[in-house]
This record gives sequence, structure tokens and C-alpha cells, in this order.
Amino acid sequence: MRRDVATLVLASALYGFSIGCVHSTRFGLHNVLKFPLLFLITGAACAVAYFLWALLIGGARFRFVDVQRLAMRLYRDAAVLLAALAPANWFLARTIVPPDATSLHDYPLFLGVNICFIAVAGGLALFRQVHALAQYHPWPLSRRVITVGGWLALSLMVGGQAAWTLRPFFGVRSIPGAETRFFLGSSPDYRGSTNFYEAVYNVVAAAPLAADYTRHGRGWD
Amino acid sequence: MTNQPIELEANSRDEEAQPFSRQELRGMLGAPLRMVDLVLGERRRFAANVAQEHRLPTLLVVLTVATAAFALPFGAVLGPQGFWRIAALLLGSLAICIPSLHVFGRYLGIGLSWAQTLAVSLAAAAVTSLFTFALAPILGFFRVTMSASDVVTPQNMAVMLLICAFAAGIGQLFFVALGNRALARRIGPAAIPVIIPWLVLYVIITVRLAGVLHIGS
Repeated sequence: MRRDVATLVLASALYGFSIGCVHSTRFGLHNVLKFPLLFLITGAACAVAYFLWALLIGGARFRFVDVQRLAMRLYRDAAVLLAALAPANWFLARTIVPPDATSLHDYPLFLGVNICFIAVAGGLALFRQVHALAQYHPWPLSRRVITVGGWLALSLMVGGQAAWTLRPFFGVRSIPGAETRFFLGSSPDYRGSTNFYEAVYNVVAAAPLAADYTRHGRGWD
Repeated sequence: MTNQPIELEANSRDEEAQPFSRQELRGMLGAPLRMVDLVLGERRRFAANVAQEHRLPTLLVVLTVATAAFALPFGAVLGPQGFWRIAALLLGSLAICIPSLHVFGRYLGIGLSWAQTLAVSLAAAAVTSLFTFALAPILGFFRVTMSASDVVTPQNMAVMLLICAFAAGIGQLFFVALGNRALARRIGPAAIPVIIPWLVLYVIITVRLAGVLHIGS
């Protein structure tokens, strides 16, 4: 378990550094701390729920520590896969045309590529744990999928808000790093959203932008 | 990235499930986390207790205590003064709805006694309560990290998490009532026609009672 956690921390720090470099080395170094924290906070908040969910769906007698180990391996695998992409990501981060006063240039492409990276790594880790569960317990495939899928849904629910609190991870380079808080917490973003769910809602039902929206999102308003 | 095998203790399907003894049930009152085994981990043994009507009074006491106790943290996170409200919601809505489940069940051919019906439904409430216990840290995290928002508030998230917990409890009701052969035989084919409409009533009453208790407002 300790080895899994150590691998998770190192791998996620490496990936975090690579995405932060799209803004600056300063943001990259912030992410060395923040990205592992994102995984650890999510895992800690969901720990008991993971356990009860596995019991509810599996009906088997699990030990708490076994479920944590399985869930941790899901995170670890995703983090290691992402870490493997870190060199490529770092190269992209340092070579895209940075945003300026006139346009975001390649920045949306970088975000899109990273969303794909995270989706692929998460999907592969999920698939691997569904397969791995079969070695540990003779459940039918449907129960394994529901168990691991439930863990993923819980992680997304909590991880989304954790990521919102710990942001910025990327950061548009036109925002001065020295003027941006380490954690933005519940500070409103450029649309005025103060939490992850509100931000999702604002993406789906986009409200008109305020005239001074470019001044928001640094954590001081 | 290797997956070392983890030895999980699985229930052997070949073994005859033994009901929980009085000592085991009383022991759970002293070690509340063992109640997790009673309602989730050892479902077949629990069903054996209910089907054989073995130590049902003790079982009912344990389930009631579990339901009340595990709901307290979620209530405390919602508001320290109203820490009892989730426990009251779970036990209150069940108390209001249990007569209808039993009487309609008997009328339509379900062969369960009062105590058996109560044990099955309390198991569902206990699972709901356990899930509120598991979701309490998540709600706490939301309360700490979400400031006042017009669209999504911590209260909204509390309601959403409560719905998840109730869904788990309802799932457990079906697992217990239909998943065990001995119990399913006693309940008979009327299970679905009774349980589904009863769940509709249960949800309506729970929502109303939540309003009365000012949960989510």
C-alpha cells in the first residue's frame, strides 16, 4: 500500500509539473504539490464510501484495507500512465503559441490534448482494475464493472470539487503567476462560478460574460 | 505497475449460511463497525436470521441502533444543532410506512411476520444510514470548499448525497428480499407488486418528512 501511495505521489507530481509548465515553471512547481494532493484528498474523502459500495454491490466480506488498496491502484495506474505522457506534455507546454491579448492561440488545443490524456489514462486504469478484480474475486463481469464504475463516479464527484478548490493547474500565461493565489478555492472564475458544479452548469447553460471578465480568476476578487 | 493478488475473504456458496447468534449480535452493540458485516458483508447470514426468525428481537435492536448511530455524523455536518435530524428522517419515515408494507404484503400473499418485515426494511434503512456515514466526509469537504453560490450550494449537494444513500438502501431492500432463496420463497411472487408501489409511498413520505425536519432548506 505504501509503495502504491509513493508511486502515485511521484507519478502525479511529474504529470502535474508538465501541465503547469504551460504557464510557467512556477506553476509547474506548484503542481508538484497540488496534483498529488488532488488524488490524496479525493481518495481520503471517498475511502469509506468505496468500501461500502464494494460491499453493497459485491455482497462479499471485504476488509477495509483491501478495498482501499484496490481503489488506490486505480489512482496509481492512472497517475503512472499520465506520468509516462509527461515528457511529451512538457514539450507541448513549452512549445505551443502562448495566449496573448488578442487570442488564446494553441492553449485550448493543449487543454483538449490533456483532457484526452486524462480520459485515456483513466479509462485504461479502470479497465485494468475491472480485469484485476476477477483475479481476486469470482464476481461476474457486470458486478465488477458496477463496482469499479461506482468508485470512478464517486471519485469524479469529489475530485471535480477538489480540483476546483486546488486550481489553477494550467493557467493562461497572460495571467501573472505572482498575482495568482496558490489555491483559488471558492473564488469566482471569469464567469462568476464559485464551485465545480456551478461551473459545469455555467458551461451547459452559458451566461453572458461580464464586460470585465478578464480581470477575474486570480483569486483576489 | 503490477497488481499483487489480494486475498479477499469470500463467502462460499456451498456452505449453509448460519444465522447470527445472540452473542454476535450483542457484540455488535459494543463494536458498531461490525454492523457493516451484519447488513452488507454477511447478507446470507442476515437473511438466514430473518427467514428462520432467529434472534429477531435482538436483531431489530441492533439494526435500530445502527440506523440511528450511523446517521448522526451526516446530520452533524449538515448543522451541529440538528445532528439528530437524519436519524429521525430514516426512522420516522420507516415508522410511518411500515404498516402499509406489512398489511399490503400480507393481503397480497407475502408470508412474512411483522418482525420479519421490520427486519428487512430496517436493513435497508441501516444501509442508507451507513452510506450517510460514508458520505459525511464528502459533504464536509463540500461545505468547506463551497462558498455561497446561487446555483449549486452545499445544501443541494447534501440532498444529492442523501438521494444516493437512499438509493443504496433501496438496492439493499431488493438484495435482501429477492437475493436470498429461503427468504424469496417466503415472500413469494408478490414481492415486486408490493415493494415498487410501497417505495413510491416511502419516497413521498420521506420527502415530506425531510421538509418538516428542514433538511435541505
